[in-house]
Amino acid sequence: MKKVVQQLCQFEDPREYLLHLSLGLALKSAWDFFEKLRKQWPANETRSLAAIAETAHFDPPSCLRLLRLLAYLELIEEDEKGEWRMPDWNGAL
Amino acid sequence: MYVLSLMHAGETFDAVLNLLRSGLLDQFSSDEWSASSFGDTSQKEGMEKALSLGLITRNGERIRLTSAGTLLTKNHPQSLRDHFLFVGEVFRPCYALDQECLAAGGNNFQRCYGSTFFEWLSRHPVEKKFFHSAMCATQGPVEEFLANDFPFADYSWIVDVGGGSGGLASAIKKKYCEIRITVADTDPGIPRSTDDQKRNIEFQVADFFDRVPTGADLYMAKLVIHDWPDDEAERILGTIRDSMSESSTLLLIESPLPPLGRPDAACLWDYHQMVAFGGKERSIDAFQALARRAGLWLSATRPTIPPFHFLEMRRL
Repeated sequence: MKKVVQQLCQFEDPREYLLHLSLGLALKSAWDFFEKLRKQWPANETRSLAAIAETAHFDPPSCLRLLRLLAYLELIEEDEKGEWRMPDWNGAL
Repeated sequence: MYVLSLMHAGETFDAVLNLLRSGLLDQFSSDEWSASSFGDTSQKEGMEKALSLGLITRNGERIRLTSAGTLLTKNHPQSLRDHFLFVGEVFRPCYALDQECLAAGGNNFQRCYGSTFFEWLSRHPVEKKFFHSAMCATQGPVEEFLANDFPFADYSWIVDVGGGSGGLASAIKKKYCEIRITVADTDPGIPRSTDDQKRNIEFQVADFFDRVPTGADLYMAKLVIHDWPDDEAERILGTIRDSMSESSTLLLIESPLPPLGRPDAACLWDYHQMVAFGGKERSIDAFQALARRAGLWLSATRPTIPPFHFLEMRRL
């Protein structure tokens, strides 16, 4: 399972580590939204940005920025067509 | 090697804030301490938290700060302490409204405080001082690198638009003392240092939505455009364009978003820009589109010290 759930990152540079730590509010926000999305998004299902934004009642451009952060955190995946997939997290979270 | 748990990132951030407010890390900064000298329960808890975050190390009874812990002490010249406190105090209300930001878009800072971040900052001198201190601490180490990684010597007059306290200008002037450098920023944004005065850096009051000095051969703006949504960013670029001659160059220093499908840490900063400031990080393509809207074109880009890129623009 993805390492990121347990360990966001491993840093060699203390300054980089602290700057990431300072974004704890952003990470908490992203995590909370991920938990909400996961409840309404079946595992392994691929969805478009428009569908995700509509289901979650999000503004699509803002939703895209959240999805890109969740992809960086390895919580969801983006395919080559620009669609998004929720991995099967069952049992891992 | 440090580990940060995503699920507890909010609690971890609060734990660091509590450590900073308690002054515990500053107590460690003078010398090695003995664990048994901290009898108080809250001090013991703070010590355990600092240990788990890699801010201190413990060898038997002896405790000392790690390099990360040292960077959070009050007197370190590049301390990140003010940066943490600023984020915790000023941006926390914005994150309390993150649902609204995701649902409606727009500027969450305006939603919380009733004005843009910089308008608000100009009315809050204490927070302004904290902000500039935080910016100096977070940006200072990279400015010397940037000064060495671009051919500034090819230019005779550089205007640093939104250059704040003149950190980058000072780094450039240190290396190229013959170049004329003007830092153009709003009046409240310019704390002048004696070092800058010694180096003959000019400070000029200028609002980049209105006008900047004309006639320079290089204009630069570091981490200015990412603070603003597209319409305001276009206005800033337009103001600079109007001051440029046909041969002038505009140099943006930004941390662009990666191409779709290859997310990196810029996505985390972009999310923070959205929720906290109402600004945004942009892809190279988005910078090209923005430049054209402002009557400019993106003539060259190249990466410099991560996560920054140099983006050179010229008049269309």
